[in-house]
Amino acid sequence: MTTSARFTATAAPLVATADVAPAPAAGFERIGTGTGIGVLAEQAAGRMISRETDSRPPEGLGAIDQLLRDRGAILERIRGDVDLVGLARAMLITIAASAAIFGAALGTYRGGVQILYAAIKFPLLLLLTAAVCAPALTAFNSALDRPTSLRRDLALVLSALGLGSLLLVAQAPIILLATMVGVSYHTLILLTFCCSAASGLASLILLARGVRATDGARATSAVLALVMVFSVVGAQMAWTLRPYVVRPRAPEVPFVRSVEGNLIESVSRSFDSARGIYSRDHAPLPGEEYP
Amino acid sequence: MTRTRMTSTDWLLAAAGPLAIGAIVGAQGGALAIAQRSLTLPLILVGVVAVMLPALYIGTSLIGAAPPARHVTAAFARGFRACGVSLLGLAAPAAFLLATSQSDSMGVALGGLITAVGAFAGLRVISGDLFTEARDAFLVRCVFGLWALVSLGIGLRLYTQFMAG
Repeated sequence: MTTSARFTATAAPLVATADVAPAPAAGFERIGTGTGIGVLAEQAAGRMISRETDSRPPEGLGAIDQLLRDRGAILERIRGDVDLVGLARAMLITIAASAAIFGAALGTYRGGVQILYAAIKFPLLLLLTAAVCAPALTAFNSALDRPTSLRRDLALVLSALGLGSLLLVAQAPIILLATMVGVSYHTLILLTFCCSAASGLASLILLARGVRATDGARATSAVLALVMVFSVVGAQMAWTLRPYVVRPRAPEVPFVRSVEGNLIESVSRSFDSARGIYSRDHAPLPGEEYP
Repeated sequence: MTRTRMTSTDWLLAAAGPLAIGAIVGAQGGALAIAQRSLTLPLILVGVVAVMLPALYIGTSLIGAAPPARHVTAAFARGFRACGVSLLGLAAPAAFLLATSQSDSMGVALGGLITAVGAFAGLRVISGDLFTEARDAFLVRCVFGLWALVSLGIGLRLYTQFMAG
């Protein structure tokens, strides 16, 4: 028996899918198609593995499922430029819905209109960060003589943020539980920071994998530069669009607060406050001067 | 190793990046500051290269790793392009970060950090173009690394002197 798998055409008429079917990934050989079903046989060191796959890339919920289960296939799809519009659409919807749910969970701490405000701001946070940072990835690729495609880079960025937002929505019950048991404001802030950091880390890892998966040299330089840009811009964007939780003593619920300090100072202050260490008599309310 | 001639578009990109970042850093100081800093940053980059290029050529020649002079100048031209393109790509993040930071000193520091990232991209391209096929890779990396550190130090000093004022 040869190492090549044999595919037996089904009784259904063969459909010429060569024009629309994506090129098989490296190491795979397409040996026949029929009614949209392609059989791929892997030839590797005499080991024969065959599996049937639909030649059409998954869309909608299928793309989300693939993002969770097989991120390598997503990266391969991006690298092969296969229906990136469909992928981007699915990721945009994923980001909008998942981040909105997490934001709404955060907003339940204060309740009322803050649920709506946070549900609007969290997707904005992710999408604005993507809009600001995606061109930087294309620029780095161009500068470092790597393959350049704004379309592929945007699809990669959206996929990475899609994964991060799915992790956020998975952690939303933790936030809800914390709110229900009545944790303090500063504890909830730190919990939110930890949830967001975990999701952000997952996004960055997928982003790095995607950059490295693209052919070309100097991938490490591109990854390092991109991670730095994403981290800084994402953190500052989060700071700019606050509040998400709202201090209990705040009489009003603003959509966004005026710019004061930066994220690092705030996290450090919340860490001290959660341990009962306060550096001032009270936090400024909207409109008050910063003590 | 890719060695292609620089087109007019490449030179435009090489100049546009530092011009954009300089203008963004100067935006907090008004129109005059925008004009002043948008011209200062490219001049700083050109000045550092003008001072340090002979040192690199001499140092690598002494260890027997210097490519022909025309390859060195071509690599530096591509390095300028890489730096300019990187800075152009970072213009949007820079504008956002500087617009949402309150202090002038933070704005200048951010501009310096962004310029350093662009300079790093340029240095990466230069080292790849010139020394990928060098015989004694470790020694060449040491010499180039030291040269790059000194260049970045001079560039940082000039930046704080002329851009932070």
